[in-house]
Amino acid sequence: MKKIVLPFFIDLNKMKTDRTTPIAFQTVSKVAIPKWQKLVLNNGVDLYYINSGNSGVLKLDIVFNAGVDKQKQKSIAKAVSSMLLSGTNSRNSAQIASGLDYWGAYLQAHCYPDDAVLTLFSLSKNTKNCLPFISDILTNSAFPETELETYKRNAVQKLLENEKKNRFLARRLFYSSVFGNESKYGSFSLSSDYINISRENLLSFYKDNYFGGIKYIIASGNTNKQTLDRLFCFFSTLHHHKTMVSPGLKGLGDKPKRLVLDKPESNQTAIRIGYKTINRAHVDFLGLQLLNLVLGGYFGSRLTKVIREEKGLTYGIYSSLESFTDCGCFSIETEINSAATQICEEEIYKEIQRLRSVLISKEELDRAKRYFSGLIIRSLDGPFSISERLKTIIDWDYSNNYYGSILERIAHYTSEDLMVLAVKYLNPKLFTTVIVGKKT
Amino acid sequence: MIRYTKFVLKNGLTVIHHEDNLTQLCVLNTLYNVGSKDEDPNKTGFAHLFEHLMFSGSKNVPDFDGVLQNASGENNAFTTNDYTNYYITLPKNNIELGFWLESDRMFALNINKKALSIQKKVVIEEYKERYLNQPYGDIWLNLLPLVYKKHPYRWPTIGRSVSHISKATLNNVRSFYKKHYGPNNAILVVAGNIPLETAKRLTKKWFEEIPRIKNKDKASLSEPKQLKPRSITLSKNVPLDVVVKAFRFPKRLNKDYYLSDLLCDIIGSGESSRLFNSLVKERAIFSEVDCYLTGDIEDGLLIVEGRVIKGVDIKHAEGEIRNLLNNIVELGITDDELKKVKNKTETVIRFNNVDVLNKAMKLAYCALLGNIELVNLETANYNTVSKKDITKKAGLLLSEKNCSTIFYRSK
Repeated sequence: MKKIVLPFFIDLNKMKTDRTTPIAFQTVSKVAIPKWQKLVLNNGVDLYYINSGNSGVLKLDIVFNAGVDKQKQKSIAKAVSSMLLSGTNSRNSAQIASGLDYWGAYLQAHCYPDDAVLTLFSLSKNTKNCLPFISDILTNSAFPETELETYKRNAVQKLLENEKKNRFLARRLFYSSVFGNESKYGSFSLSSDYINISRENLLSFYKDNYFGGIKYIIASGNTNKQTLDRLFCFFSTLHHHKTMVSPGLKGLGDKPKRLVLDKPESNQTAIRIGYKTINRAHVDFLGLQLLNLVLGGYFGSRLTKVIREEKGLTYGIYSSLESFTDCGCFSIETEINSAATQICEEEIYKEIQRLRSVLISKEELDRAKRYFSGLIIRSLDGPFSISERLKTIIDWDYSNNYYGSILERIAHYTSEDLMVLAVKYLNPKLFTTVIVGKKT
Repeated sequence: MIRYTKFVLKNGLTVIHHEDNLTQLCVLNTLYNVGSKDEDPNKTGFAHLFEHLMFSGSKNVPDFDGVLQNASGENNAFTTNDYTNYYITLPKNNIELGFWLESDRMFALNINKKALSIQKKVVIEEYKERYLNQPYGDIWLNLLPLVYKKHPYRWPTIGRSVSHISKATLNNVRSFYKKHYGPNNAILVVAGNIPLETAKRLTKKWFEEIPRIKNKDKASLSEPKQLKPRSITLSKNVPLDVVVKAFRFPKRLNKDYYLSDLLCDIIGSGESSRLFNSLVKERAIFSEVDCYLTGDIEDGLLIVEGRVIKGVDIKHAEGEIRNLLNNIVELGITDDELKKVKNKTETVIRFNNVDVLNKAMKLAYCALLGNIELVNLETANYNTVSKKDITKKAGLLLSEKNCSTIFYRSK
């Protein structure tokens, strides 16, 4: 047997730097709140902006009340969003694509349960050349039949591929079970839903929710006076769609289920466990966010430590807490060595039980709090990250100091507080469990 | 423009400092000049497995992640064919802690049996999650050995097979560390809200005493020229037929790299590209097409990948790609097309230059390429490419003789 060769031969006495004493660090208790400002356009639309100096780039988020909640027929909101660039009465899709590309711009449309966003990424020197396309898209979209056929064909193909992924199937089963397949949070399109989309439905949704008006706009990056003046004039000519829905908390109490889908050919099993819970509207939300972090919200969490770093059963396991307009969703997800499915499930429940019955040590709690502060600081770093946070502040009507105050509020939570929250909100009796993979 | 200062410590560690006072953060980005191309062909996946072990603690810092989380920091890493990159971000006041952590694992990593055994399992689950338990996940496992016969790019960074990972021993790990993880084989970027003098002082304090490793200069490797078309057909339980075509493309430092990248965008980037317009929209051959460069330092690839519409014959679909490429070779490209892809490239570069972590990674990568100033020359390098440059080279690059094709059929 060969002798083991050690990788280093160093006389420690010769080392000058003291490596053994841990380096002191500071707890971050303040975050520099970046400055954003607001202009009210002539049509009443709020234009928020975050100036990042001379980066030479501009990101524009145009927000609409055009989420899944606005659709009267399944799949329409998503289809309209996906087809926003598919042609107007004066330009076809190729002209729009090549026109925007010519100016080096990226225009992306996204549809969410509670709203929809059209985002422009452009060099600030080219923004003015992109605006006519945006105006055309927002006032003249035609949704040509041939484009709709292309959309349906490709969407059905994409669905066929997704349905071969355990992770996708688990997500679909989970959300449609917890929220109901008709709900905006649990709505998944089937092939038949795509087939049933008609041009008339698209046009009518578009007319009400895009042509109907902009909810608000966020500009981030190089927002100098000239740019702002231009945006002001340009967007003042479009309609304003006032916010009707204010966020709140309603309709909790989903029925817990256990759903198992056997996939004999797969070699990993997707698991999703969770339930419908509180959102930002509830005073306990922040504490629950901290508790979620301890359980599975970061690499130092209990689930990662036990299931990945101690047992090596998965590449990743996470828990998350989402906040929608009407409610929240807590869930744990992983893809796991199929043979260990049962062990994994037991370990998850063991950790939850432990949070409900044993106090979190001060050391563990402090680490989670400090990590949380780091998350907040990183999430407010740079104009584009800030624009995302700003969206939350606008949607929830928070004060400018909201994120600053979080750091202070987080500091006050005790282990006892978190145990109370665990008993209240991490109750396995409420959870739906979805398992997709090879039966063992 | 990204301003930077470079200095080299006595032990050979290259350090690059970049100050950005718009951020509240500091970044330590450490690039080791070792990737999967440096692996033994019988022990592939090792560079990546080793990356996982770099988080198992070091002599003076038993719990790497825990210490960092306590100081509000975050970290991660990735392994490529060419190099392995580690990064730490911290609030600016806590940056010295990052120096302590990063230098300690360069100085004396805690290599132990338990960590190896766990991380082998974790990486095997990663292998399954990304390559085996997904439709088409094994494309790279099949494509690379078809294209590369000699070059170590013939296996993916995750490794040629699960068994290579499960067979890794503690001895392998130790000798890998000894061979590659030293100051003279690394590039450290200190970026963010930190003055140059502080960066210098902390770098010297924490890194300068770490001894050099014996590090041989790496020879640039080349794959022999491909002389005729290659193809394989796979038949698997997937929902759609997929065509993948891989063309041998210039190395990253070849003068033709920039024209290659623009050509790639003209062929297949975005909805105004040739592929999308013609084969997704007009002719309904594919539901999705993608075209990109692998961008490795040595012999690279241009990949064209398309999901075939149900009912369209896969051979016919592949023929349509060939026709489209021939059309570019024979008729050339337009001024507007070239202008368009240059503008798009500039937008991407500019947006990437806003984030301090992105800038730090770019600086490290350009230093690895041997010319840090590349970080500021990119846009100009793309802009000097002419229509003639592209048409002159397109024929050779897009020739079938230069191409490997996978027909991935739905069973």
